[in-house]
Amino acid sequence: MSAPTIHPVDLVIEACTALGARPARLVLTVAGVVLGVSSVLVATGLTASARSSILASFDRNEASTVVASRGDGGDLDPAALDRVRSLRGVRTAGLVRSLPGISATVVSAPGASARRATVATASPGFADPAGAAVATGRTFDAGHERRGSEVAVVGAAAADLLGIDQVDGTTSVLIGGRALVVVAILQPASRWSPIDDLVIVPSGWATAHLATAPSAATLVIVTQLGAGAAIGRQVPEAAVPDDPRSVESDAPPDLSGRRVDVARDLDAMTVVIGVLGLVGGALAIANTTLVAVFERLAEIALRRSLGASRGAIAGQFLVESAITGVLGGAVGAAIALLLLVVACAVRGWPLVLPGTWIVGGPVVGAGVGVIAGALPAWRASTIAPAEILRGTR
Amino acid sequence: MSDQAAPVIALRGVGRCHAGPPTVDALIDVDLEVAPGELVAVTGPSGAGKSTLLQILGLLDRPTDGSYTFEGIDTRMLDGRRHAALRATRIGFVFQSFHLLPHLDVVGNVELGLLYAGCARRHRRERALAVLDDLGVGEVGSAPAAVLSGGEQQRVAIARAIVREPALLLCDEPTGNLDQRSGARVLDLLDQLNERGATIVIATHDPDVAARATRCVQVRDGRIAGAPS
Repeated sequence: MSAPTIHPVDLVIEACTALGARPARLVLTVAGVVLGVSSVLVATGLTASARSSILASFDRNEASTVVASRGDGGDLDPAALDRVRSLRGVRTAGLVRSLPGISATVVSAPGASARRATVATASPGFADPAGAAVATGRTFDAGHERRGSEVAVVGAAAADLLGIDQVDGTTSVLIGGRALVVVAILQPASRWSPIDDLVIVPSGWATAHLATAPSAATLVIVTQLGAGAAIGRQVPEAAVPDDPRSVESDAPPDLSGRRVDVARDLDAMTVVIGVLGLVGGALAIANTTLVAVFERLAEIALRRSLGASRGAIAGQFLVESAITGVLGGAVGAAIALLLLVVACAVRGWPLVLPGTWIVGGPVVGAGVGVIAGALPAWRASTIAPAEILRGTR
Repeated sequence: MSDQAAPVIALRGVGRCHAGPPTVDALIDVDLEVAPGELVAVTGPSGAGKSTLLQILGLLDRPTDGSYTFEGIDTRMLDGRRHAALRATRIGFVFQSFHLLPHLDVVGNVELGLLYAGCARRHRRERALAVLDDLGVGEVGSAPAAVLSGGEQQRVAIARAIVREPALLLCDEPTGNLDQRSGARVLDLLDQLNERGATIVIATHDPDVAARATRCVQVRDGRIAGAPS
């Protein structure tokens, strides 16, 4: 005598037949799972998309700009710029030096203004670290610097002040009694805004033609992401090795920790929403399956009388709840995908599809179904058929 | 009882006490043997212990005292899976309330009788259709079980019970929910099965049913009538 067996295919067919016998209940139970699974997937998908957007914002605003100057308002040796540039983690740097008492006026622009703008010298390529793109024209370079060319670059606010809006080779500014051709107008700076108010001339020209010595020099340094704080600590030593205490370095707060915090919070939010959703779906299945067990006592007793073992009874209810979970998972994944596409389109977020979750929707549903169906299945397997058939239950 | 053949059923001092409170002694010190091919009627008033006796005979319940030997196997030595195996292959049940599954058609209900016996799906259908034809209800094979008359439902239930050709057919008030004519047809059917060699035990308090049996066993207050109390 061998132990009774039921083929797994027969078990699935029996489960499908039993579920199909109560279509309204099946739809309602599946709806519960759909809500659970889709909420998990939508939460995951939205979090992934929002996370991408939020972290991109962090990247843009990461602590990557360091500004350093002497605490006493003194000058910095141009060689300080080379030393700072050699620091590991520095992407680019520029040196801007004030020229006290020197101002610029317009000599040839149409509708020339009598207003005066502050003049400073800067190292070639200074606009990049300041985050000031060229609006029109071309900034001076190392060649202009060496030759002491009579050229000037005008910051965005200074251009407005002086009424300069084009660079055509005829627009000049008058500085120290000499006319310098405006070769570029800058856009507003994103990293070091004081440059907007300045008219910048090559230091070689300033040295040759102005009696005023540079002072209040400022180093504007752009670092690699997350290196701002470290560079901020190293800059004083690099800029003035003999007297680093005289240099004040202003590094923005390091946001890398907050970036991790935000990512962790988003993940935690996803987990919480996901768990709540899945618990809701699981409760729907568990409740319905448990009710079904008590409604089908006579059927359970009959199957036991026909030779079903306790395991076979438990298996049937477990498979029924697993199938319910698979259906709910599949439909939930489809709905979640649709909602994600719409939500990301509305919010303008990048659509970051959590592929494993979408594909795994039915798998997750099956898992929820099995877990939720375990207790009712066990309960069904413990029902004594004799009691049912005797009518004492 | 045949003197030659080994009994299909042998109960020795079987008792069944239902846990309370209050505790109920449904069966007390029951000795019973049933030989192959017998048609035994178990009679007695409601609550006498007939159904409990049938459930013990059908391995749906276990005695709290005594021993039960089925086809030479001491059932006390078997675990639940082995009991299920015997029910799936050697024992058939017919219930007063038919217990057909309403979401299945007639053939599907009869196929259930083979589901747990390890029979392949294709063979289940063939055998179910053959038995239904044999019992004269083949023409309703595709009908939902719920639309059949009481007599037809009971014949389908009998088909489900005998489709696996059990050694023992246990019938609990098989005519209890039927009118006289339908009941008589069901009893004729059981007679035919018995004539073909089926061993049948029927629990009933219907004297017409008892009159058809080859032997009648009376149960009163959990004891076999005539047995020493």
